[in-house]
Amino acid sequence: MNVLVTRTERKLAQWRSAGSAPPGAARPRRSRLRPATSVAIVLLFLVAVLVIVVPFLPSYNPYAINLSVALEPPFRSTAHLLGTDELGRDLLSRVSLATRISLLIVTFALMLNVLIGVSVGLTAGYYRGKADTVIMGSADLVLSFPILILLVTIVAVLGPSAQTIAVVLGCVFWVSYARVSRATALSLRSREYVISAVTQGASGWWVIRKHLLPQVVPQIAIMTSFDLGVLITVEASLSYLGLGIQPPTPSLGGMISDGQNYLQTSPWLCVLPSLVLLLLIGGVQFMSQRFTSEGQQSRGMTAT
Amino acid sequence: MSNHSEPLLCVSDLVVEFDTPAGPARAVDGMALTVHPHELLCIVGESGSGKSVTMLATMGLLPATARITAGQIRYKNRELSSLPAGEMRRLRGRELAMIFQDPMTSLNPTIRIGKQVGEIITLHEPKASKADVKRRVIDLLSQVNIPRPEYRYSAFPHQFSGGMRQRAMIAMAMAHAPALLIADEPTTALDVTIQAQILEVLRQMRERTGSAMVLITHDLGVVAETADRVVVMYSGRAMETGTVQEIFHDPQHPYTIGLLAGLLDMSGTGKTAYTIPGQPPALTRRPSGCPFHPRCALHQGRDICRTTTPVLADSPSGRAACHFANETAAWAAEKFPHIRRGPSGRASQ
Amino acid sequence: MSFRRRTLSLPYPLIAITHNGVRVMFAYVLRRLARAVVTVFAVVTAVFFLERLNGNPAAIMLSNTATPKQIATLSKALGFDRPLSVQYLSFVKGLLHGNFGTSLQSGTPALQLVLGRLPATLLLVLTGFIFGVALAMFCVLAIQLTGSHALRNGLLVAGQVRQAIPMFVFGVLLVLAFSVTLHWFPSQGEGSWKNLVLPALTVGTFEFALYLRFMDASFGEQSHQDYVRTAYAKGNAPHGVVLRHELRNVLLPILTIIGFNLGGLLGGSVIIETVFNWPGIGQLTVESVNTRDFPVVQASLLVASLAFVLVNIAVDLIYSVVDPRVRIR
Repeated sequence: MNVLVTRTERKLAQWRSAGSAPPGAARPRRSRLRPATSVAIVLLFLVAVLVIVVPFLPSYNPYAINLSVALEPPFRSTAHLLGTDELGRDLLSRVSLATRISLLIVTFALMLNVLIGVSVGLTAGYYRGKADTVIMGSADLVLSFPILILLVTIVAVLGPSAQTIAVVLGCVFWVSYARVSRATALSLRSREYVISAVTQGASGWWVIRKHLLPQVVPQIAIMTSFDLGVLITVEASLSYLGLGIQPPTPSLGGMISDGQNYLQTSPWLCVLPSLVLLLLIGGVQFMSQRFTSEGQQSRGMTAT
Repeated sequence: MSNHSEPLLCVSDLVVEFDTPAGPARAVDGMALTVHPHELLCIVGESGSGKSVTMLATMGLLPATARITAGQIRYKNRELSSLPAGEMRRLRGRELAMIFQDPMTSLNPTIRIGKQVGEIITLHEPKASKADVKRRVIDLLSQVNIPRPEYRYSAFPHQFSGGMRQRAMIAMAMAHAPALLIADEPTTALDVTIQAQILEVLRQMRERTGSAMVLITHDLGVVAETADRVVVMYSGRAMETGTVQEIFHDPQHPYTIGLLAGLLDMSGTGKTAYTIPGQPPALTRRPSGCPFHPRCALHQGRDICRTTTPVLADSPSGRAACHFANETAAWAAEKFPHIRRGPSGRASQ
Repeated sequence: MSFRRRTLSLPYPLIAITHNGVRVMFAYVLRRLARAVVTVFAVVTAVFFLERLNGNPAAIMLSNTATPKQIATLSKALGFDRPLSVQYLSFVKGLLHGNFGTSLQSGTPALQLVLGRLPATLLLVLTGFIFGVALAMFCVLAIQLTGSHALRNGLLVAGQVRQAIPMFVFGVLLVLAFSVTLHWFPSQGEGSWKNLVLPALTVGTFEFALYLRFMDASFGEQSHQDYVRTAYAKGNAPHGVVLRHELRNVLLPILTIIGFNLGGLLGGSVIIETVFNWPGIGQLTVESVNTRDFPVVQASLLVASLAFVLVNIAVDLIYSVVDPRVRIR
């Protein structure tokens, strides 16, 4: 669901940066480190501990089934710090592994999106003509659908698995990167240094790589920091529906879905993966806010 | 047409500061001016000299990042800067009116012209009937020479030309025959050919209502045509003031003379226009003493220019804020022979 | 500057549809619809081929233990053994007659099944949407009229927090709090108004957060505009400026967001309906995906996409009527 936030969030960031610099005056900068950033650092640190440190604990075993200790509440024993699920598997280990896998999938998908989007966008913007029309036409095609339904359908048809969603996620979110790259290519292709490179015999590929690509990197970096949160959410949602990471591999969404059956008796089965998911998304989103001009916005004319 | 009765508006020692990342910036740094009833005062100065900010402060329309930190603004013997909000609102639009530079952005694009002009009437006369307001708006629109006003009443701002929009703004401002109309560079955003129209409309409306006017401009031609009295501003302070004849025929401040010298010299051929060397100072780092002294030909390294900020009273005539105002005539005659001085005719080349 | 003599005195919306207006608008709608149909058709075709190229659908439908003979029988019965081109042709023919095939699970026509679920989804989505937008507008106006920084910061932070929480997590947490712990509301299915509360809250709080941030940003942008200064110069009080001047200019761009948003909600109904077992299109889609009921999956995709496109077209039309500066060409 937070997918639709991507497009609209870009617009929001635009507006905010438009509205926060009034003519003739500027805001005094407040404290160096905004509270959001420090919160983000704390959250991400916790996630890092979970993913990196936990696998080295002696009790680490995400797959061991042990029905005799099933549905044990958290903080009861040192063997199972966060309790166990309905099959007696250690929740702490499962959550740690699930987070790690999510991060791997999402990072891969994000890189794939950027790769597709930037190469396609730069090509469309630099060469224009037919390539441009085809590319932007397919971009419009992708955008003209509610993304989640499209994802669900494709994954269903191809058969759900971690690999499938990694690739599918990587092929659906490239449009904004393509747009940005194309816009940059369009505006830069007529600059003198590009034209002079071409007259010196540089191939299109060379121009794109050496001259256009570096210009695109900063904006792309900002966009990826934001899309990271979105992709994590989408992956978790797909796993919740049973269309993502398949059991017995743990996934945060899958654990929440399974845990929903035990809400009355063992709520921690749902709550713990939810908390970890929130830590992850929250940390990533607050970090990405550093790059959009959020927070204090100056008022223009107000009460006088 | 100036008269020496009780001044309508009297600004003294006004200081207005803006918040910037580099610290507080003083857009206005000790400004003084007076406006008498029915007269037209022109405030002349370069961009960034603080002309608009002075009048915005008078109207209480400063943005949230700015504030008046010192000085008085007395209108009919009331102190405006400390007036309660409700009373200030009653003055705005009724006794103090203001029109702005860009009429396209100054009008709400989503509301029809008639309704916008009518708003100023209903704000101050809430009991007026809708039909009555509409009639008055159409009447106002015809007074400013907008053709077929009964049809234009329902138009949106983007359907008007630039000149028509500004005239609608003037109609709006004059709806209650304000005692003072402030016009902030009303012709700058318009074609030169339209400028004359707008100035003429302003003149007509002023004749009808008897309003005093403060006209902010950087165009000396407009000043010569329209002003009764003039204030020359530089870097947030008044450099010189006087009647329009005094300013053009007997300029006493080196800055004023520099401005006049910048007007083209028609006598010779191939001469480039004079420009005052240097740049106006940044608002956050003004020079000590006289703000003009780093660029002033009369400074000649004399300390007093740097240590003591001159006020209008420092010159013998009391019109120029300069320690050496008595030397300017000689200097100008030598350096800028094309500015002819004297009581008859205009300053010409 | 060519407004017509007679039409100038009409209320603006009528100007747009008089004289040439009607013809132009009609042509525009047709163009958009045509493009939409082509797009949707292209995607449905793509899905069609994807399904069949990934191995025999009959084999996928049956469990792993099915014998080749069983697969062959089913395949023949459902027409999967015909050449792809023949299958596609009959598929297209069926489409043109509004026939999407029959649900492989229930035997009812797929399109009928899907459309039957539409009202439930619309109820959920529209309730949440209206609640969220109304609350957001109320809060933003409260912020603007009181000028309270504390209120603004508090609400914005709350909104940000809510937006960071995925829909399904928020739904599950709501169920935990209000259904399991407090027993105020049921957690599953459709029934009385009580069943609607938790799902609508899930959607509504998300909408609230979204529109709160947009309208807040929009008001911030408007406060820097020159016409606001003019409005104050006329003698308006702050509430007059906010309500009579800024609000109109804030609402216009929100319209474009609504297009994306509502369409996205239709897609996101997949998640919410699964959490709450709400019998809408989303839940049907997920079910049919899990049972490999391809005709229903295709029909769902088509209906959802068309709805998305129709909403966007409607929003564009409304925008062109409402914004005096926009004329459809």
